[in-house]
Amino acid sequence: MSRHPSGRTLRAFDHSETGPGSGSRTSRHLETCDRCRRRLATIRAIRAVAAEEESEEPSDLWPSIRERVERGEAVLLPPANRSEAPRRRLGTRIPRPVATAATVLLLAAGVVVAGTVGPLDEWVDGLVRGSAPSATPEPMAAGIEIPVPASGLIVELREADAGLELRVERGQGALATLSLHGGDDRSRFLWEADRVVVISPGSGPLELRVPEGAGKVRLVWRGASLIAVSGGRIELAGGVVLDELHARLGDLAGAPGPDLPAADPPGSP
Amino acid sequence: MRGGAEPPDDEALVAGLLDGSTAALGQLFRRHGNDAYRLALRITGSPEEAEDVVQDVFTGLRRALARYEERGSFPGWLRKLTTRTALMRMRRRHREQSVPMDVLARRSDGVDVAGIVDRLVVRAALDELPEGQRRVFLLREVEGYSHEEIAEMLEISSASSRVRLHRAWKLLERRVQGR
Repeated sequence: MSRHPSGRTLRAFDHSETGPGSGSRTSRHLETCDRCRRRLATIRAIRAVAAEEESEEPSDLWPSIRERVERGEAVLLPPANRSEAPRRRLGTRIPRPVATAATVLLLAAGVVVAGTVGPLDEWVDGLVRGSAPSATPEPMAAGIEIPVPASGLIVELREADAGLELRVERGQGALATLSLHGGDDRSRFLWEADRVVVISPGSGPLELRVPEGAGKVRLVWRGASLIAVSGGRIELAGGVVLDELHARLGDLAGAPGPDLPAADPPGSP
Repeated sequence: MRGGAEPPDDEALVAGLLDGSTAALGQLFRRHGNDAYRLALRITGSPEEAEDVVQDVFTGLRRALARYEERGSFPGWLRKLTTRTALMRMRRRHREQSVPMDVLARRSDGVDVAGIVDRLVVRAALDELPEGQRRVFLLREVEGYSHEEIAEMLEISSASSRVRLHRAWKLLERRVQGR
């Protein structure tokens, strides 16, 4: 009696992926071996059940999709292929070890240092303040403007599955988590704040210290991203506001939403 | 000669969508929405989650198309986009450990495996797989992705993908055969 074929061989046989020699050997073996026939039946049953389609159709999703599209809502989708994924650079460039986290610690301190900004500043400021730099939709900026309470904050920026994840903490637990997706080779994460001390400006974790009363810190993700921020409000392209995150950021400051002027919609003069 | 009533192909609809046509998006949704839903449902295991995935995919499709290069078919690209969107969503939550009975009942339609093994036993075994193994199993065995493609999607090595698949099969066979 011949040796039993392995599970891998039986699975390949089931998909007709065995070579001619192996296939005919397996076929001959199956003619005489109940055990392997049962095993092959099990493999086929598992595959069949796993491949079953749901008979139930979804509810009519189109009206909701159309409404969201017509509202100008932007959705952050991951790239379909790795070749579409942006290369990410954080601040003063943090190399990409897996699970690298750039941690921005916003702590009580008292030294005044200005933030470093790049040549894209003008249009970033334009977006953040509500006027689009040009009629061209790309590149865009994404960022977050955070009112800093006296107790300080921890803002953690880490590479996530298909973008960046920004996590804001005060005390116990995360108060807000924002995933930033999109971007392209030009994308950069830059920080910007009033009176900020750069603790570790080189590669690796980036730590900023913000003095009490700094008021607000703006972290800006630049490039072909999807989100713009103004006055603590997260705005998607087209002026859609993520109210929930806005509200949570308001909670973060221990007060109602930040008392900052509302932005004009992008594109307004 | 083409008749005037012939529906536009995907490429024409994609071009229309990129030009801002909501009607083109609607046609793409009617053509591919149910496939995307079934795929999302298989990955998420939840009709509600699957509907959310499909809504997100089609709401964000126009912007996502900016990254689309016509090197492959649009349906194939859309399936990958849906798969990745569903996986991203799954990573954000802990998977429920139990499977509602009504889901099991719905899944009892279709392929006839009666007399071989109990379908519910197979379904339960699939649902009880460790999440990492389950994802690899579904992507490989049902969706037909290569280990290299799975490795890219799940950000693991192709060797890990193979190991997970091997372990998944081992667990499934053991559980289904009651060993």
